[in-house]
Amino acid sequence: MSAVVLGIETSCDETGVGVVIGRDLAANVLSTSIEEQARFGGVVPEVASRAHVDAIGPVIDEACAVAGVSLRDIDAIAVTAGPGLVGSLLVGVSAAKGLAAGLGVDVYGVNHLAAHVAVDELQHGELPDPLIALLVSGGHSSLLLMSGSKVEPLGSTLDDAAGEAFDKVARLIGLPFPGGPHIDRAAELGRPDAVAFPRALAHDPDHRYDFSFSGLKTAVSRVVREQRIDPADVAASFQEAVADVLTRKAIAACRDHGVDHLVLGGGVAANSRLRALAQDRADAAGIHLRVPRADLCTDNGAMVAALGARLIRQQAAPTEPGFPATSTFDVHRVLIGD
Amino acid sequence: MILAVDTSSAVTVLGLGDATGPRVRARAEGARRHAEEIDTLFASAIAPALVGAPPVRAVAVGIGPGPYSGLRVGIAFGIGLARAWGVPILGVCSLDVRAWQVADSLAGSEPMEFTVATDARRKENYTARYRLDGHLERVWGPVVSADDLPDPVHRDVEIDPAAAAVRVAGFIDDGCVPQPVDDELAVHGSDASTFALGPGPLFLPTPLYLRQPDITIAGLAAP
Ligand SMILES: [Zn+2]
Repeated sequence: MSAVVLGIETSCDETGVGVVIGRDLAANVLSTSIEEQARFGGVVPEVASRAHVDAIGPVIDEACAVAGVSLRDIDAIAVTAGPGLVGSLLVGVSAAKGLAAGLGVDVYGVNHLAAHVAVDELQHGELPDPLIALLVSGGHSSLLLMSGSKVEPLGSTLDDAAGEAFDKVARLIGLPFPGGPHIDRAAELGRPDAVAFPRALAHDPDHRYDFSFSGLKTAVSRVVREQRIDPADVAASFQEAVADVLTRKAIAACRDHGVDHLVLGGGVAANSRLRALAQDRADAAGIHLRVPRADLCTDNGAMVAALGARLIRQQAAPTEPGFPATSTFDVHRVLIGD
Repeated sequence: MILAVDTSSAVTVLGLGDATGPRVRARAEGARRHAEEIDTLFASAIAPALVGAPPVRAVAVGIGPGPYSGLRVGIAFGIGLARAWGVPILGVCSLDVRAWQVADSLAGSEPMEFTVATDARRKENYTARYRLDGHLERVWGPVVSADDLPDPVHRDVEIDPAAAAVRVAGFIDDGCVPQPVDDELAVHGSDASTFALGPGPLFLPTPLYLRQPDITIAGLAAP
């Protein structure tokens, strides 16, 4: 019998609950405070935490209804224990602990980043081992080497997250929050070679796998301020610069480590140019690229459930009571306290 | 049996009780440790006590007011627990719970009023005023206030979760139904004259923040 796993994700502004049966997605329900956050032009942690506690019960109910399971059918609970906004994480972790205590089932406190990778199993089957993962969103930009149950962070952003750069640039050219989808759409009408924006750290040997987007944001603001360039061209050129740097470094990481599987994840992985360029460069380098569909790339509960189900298949020990929610989750670990 | 949870202060408390009296109480201290303590306390004290005991018919959670992140831990834990058991979740105002205990200690005295207060940081108090005259009634509050408090003041009374469970069992037997908490009032209610939580004693599990959220955009320090 395949395990029925309920996954809870509350690391940022999405309250996500998913149900996974074995490797099959049974439900993926999301409640978001993004409209409320849009008034502030970014995620306000306390607003997100308040929305989580209001949403968590109804979202659990709906996920069970969609999956056609009762809570009594659940074999285990998985929950994001970090990294993320601690006030938000605490809501999901506490609800997960309450559910697990009441049902008498195991709980797995998991690494949000590893969940972004594991979710691809729901769409493309068992994950290859080893693999390189490029995870890019409003909260994180990371290159990871995953092999066996180990996670090795190869690089990350030194300043802004990739998704944050999209939000800031969107604001500069008058597009609403969240910036990602709006820039993607605006860029369709623009020329990606209109402005040669900087590719930070592209050739820095000390930061071979790290990213930096704050200089790019400054360059965009200068162009917007000083020149009369079509916003669509700015959007396309900015998007090209981000996609270029991200894919170049991801492919380099695969080559350097002799790994021929690359997995993309995070909200920015929904960006059409990033997906296309990653595919071109992976094909050219003989690397197999796996990108989950857009609704599995953004933060969601199914990804947490998918990782929980994977841990159960690997016979990992569940998390003991007393585990915290932590903004500074040790990214070497898949399970908290492991 | 009622299971009561409160994390509106630096102490995490869980308890069991019913109309026949208090059964079990468990507590742990630590202002930022609610999430770590709550399932540990449940596993060590509550789960063993439930074996062979009458079934739990509702989960009661303290809805504050109290420091937000800690407060939400107890509420979210209660929401999960109640759903797992398929029983109702009820909110109780954490200042009311303290007032019930004060009233118990004053039983038999002359009719009187008293104030209950806890620390709201920023040199303010979470506070409410009660009248005890045979039965207990909330006169005003809860509010967050920097004003001097009318005497007598019972400050930082530690919640006895088993006693709270006994009270809640009584309210349910009396036919009390949980009332919604007005969202606007829950957030803005800093004026005692206009604040109206409703007479209670049972509410939906909506946190009583009593303050607008601080608007600071999330710093993106995450890896
Ligand atoms: Zn994420």
